[in-house]
Amino acid sequence: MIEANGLTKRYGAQLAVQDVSFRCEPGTVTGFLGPNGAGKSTTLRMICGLTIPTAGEASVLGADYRRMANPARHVGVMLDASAQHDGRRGRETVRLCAETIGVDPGRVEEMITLVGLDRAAAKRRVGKYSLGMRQRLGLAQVLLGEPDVLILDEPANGLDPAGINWMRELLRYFADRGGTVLLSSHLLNEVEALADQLLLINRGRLIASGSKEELLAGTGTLVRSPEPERLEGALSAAGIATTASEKGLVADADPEAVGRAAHAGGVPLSELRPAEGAGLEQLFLSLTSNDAEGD
Amino acid sequence: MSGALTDRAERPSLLRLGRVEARKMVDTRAAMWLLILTALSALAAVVVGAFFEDANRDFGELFVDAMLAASVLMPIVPILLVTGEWSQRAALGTFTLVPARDRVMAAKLLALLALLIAFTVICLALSALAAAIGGDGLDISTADAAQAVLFDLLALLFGFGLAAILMNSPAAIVLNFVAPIVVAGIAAISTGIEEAVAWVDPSTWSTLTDANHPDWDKIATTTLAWVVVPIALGLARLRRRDVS
Repeated sequence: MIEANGLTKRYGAQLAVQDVSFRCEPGTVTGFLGPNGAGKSTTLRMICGLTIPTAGEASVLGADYRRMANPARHVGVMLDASAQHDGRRGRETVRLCAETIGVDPGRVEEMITLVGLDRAAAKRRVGKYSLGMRQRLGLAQVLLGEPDVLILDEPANGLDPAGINWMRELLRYFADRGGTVLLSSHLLNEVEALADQLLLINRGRLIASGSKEELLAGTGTLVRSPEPERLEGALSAAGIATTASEKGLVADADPEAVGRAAHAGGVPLSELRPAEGAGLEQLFLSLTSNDAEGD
Repeated sequence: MSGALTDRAERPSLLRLGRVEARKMVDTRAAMWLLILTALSALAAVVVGAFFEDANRDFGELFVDAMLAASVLMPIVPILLVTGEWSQRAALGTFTLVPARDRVMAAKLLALLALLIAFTVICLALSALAAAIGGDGLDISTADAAQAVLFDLLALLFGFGLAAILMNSPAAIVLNFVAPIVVAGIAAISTGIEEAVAWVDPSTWSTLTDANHPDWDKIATTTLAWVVVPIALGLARLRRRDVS
C-alpha cells in the first residue's frame, strides 16, 4: 500500500508538486499519468525519501520510506533506469544491489534470467546498454528483494513493443498475487491496458483520479458512418454534441441514444460502441491541453 | 506493520555497506586503473630510492618514500567513490536502497580505511623487498612509519572532504591539486601572512614525512579546516539535497 497525503514541493517560486494525495491498494496497478514535467518524478521521489517534501507526507506499507531498515526488501523502486554507473558490468550492478540489501547471491543470476538479459549482456558494461536493457537491468534489481510494492518511473521507456508486453505481464502477475504497483508514464497507451487505477497529474496538481472504468464512464460513444456529414446532422438534430477523432465521431451520449438518433435520421452506421480508448485519450488530452507552455 | 519495516535488526550492517563501497572502488575500469597507478607510483618511488639514488635508503626511509608517492593519487580514490554517485547518477539507486545517507558516507569511510591498510601492507612489502635487495638494511622507525601512514590517511580524508562538499568529480579533483598551490601563493605575499596561513596550509601535513618533528598544532588546525569542516558541511548538504 502506498499513501500520499498533501505532498507539496516548492523550488524557489515554483511549485513543482501541489497538494497531491492518493492511495494505492494491494492487488492493483496504478498508472500515474501526466505530460513530461508535470511533477510525476518529483512526487515519486518524495514517496521514496529522495526529495524532502515542502509539506505533506507519504508512507509505503504504513511506514515512512526513510525510516525503513532495509526498504528494498519491501519496496522495489526504479526511478530512472539510465541512472546506473556506465563503467560497471551488468551482473556486477545487480550483485552490488544484492550485497547491499543482503539477499542470497544466487538470486542475482535468477533475476538476470527473469528479466531476459542473456549471459553476454550481463557481462557487458552498462555504458554499452540500450535504454531498454537498462530498464530490464533495473527491474532485476527491483525484484531482488522480493518486494510487496513496486514504484517505477517510466519503466516502459526504451522498451520495444515485445518488451512492453513482457513488462505488462510481469506487473499484472505481480499485482494479481497481492502486490501494489505504482508506475508513471507520459504515454497513455502504455498504461491503459495495464492499470486498474489512474492518477492524472498536470502542472503539479492531481487533476483526476479513480478507477479506469470510472474515468472512462461518460466519455461518450464512438460512432462511424459511411456518410459522416449526415450522421453529424442527425446527431445534432437530436441534440447530441460530437467531436471528431481519428477513429470516427465521438458522441456525448450513450450508444443507445446515438443509435436511435441515427435511426431517426435514416443514417447507416458502420460502427457503434463505447469510446473506450479514444475516450481515455481525449480525457488525457483535454485535461492537459490547457497547458499551453512547453516543459 | 510499520514496526517490522523499521526494525533495526533487518538493517544492513555498516560492515556490509562498507564491503559494498570497497567493491565500488575496484569494479569499474576507471577505479581499477586508479588503484593500479597509485600502486605503481609507490613501486617507482621504492625502485628509484633503493637502486638509483647515491645515498642508499633503508627499509624505513623507503617505506616513507612509497607512502609519499602513493599519496599523490590516493585522494582521487575517495573523490571518485563519493562524486561518482552524482556524476554517474548512481546515487539514485544507492540512497533508494539505503535511505540513511550518513550511513552510506560512513561506509565509504570504512572502505577507505581498508584501502589505507591495504596500501600500507603493499608499501611495507615493496620497501622491505627493495631494502633487502638493493637498499641500506632493514631498519625502520615505528614513529616515522606511523606518521607516513597518518599522512596518507589525511590525504584520503582531504579528498573525501572535498568530494563530500562539492559532489562533483572535476571540481573536486582540480581543487585537490590546486588548493595547496593557491594556499602557498597566498602565503608567499608576506611573512606575516605566511605565518597566519601556515595554520591552514595542507602542506603542513607533509611535515609528517620529514625527518624534522611534525608541527602537531598546525596539523590539527589544518585538519580541522580541510577535513573536519568540509565533511561536516558536506554531510549537512547531503542530508537535505534532492537525489535525482
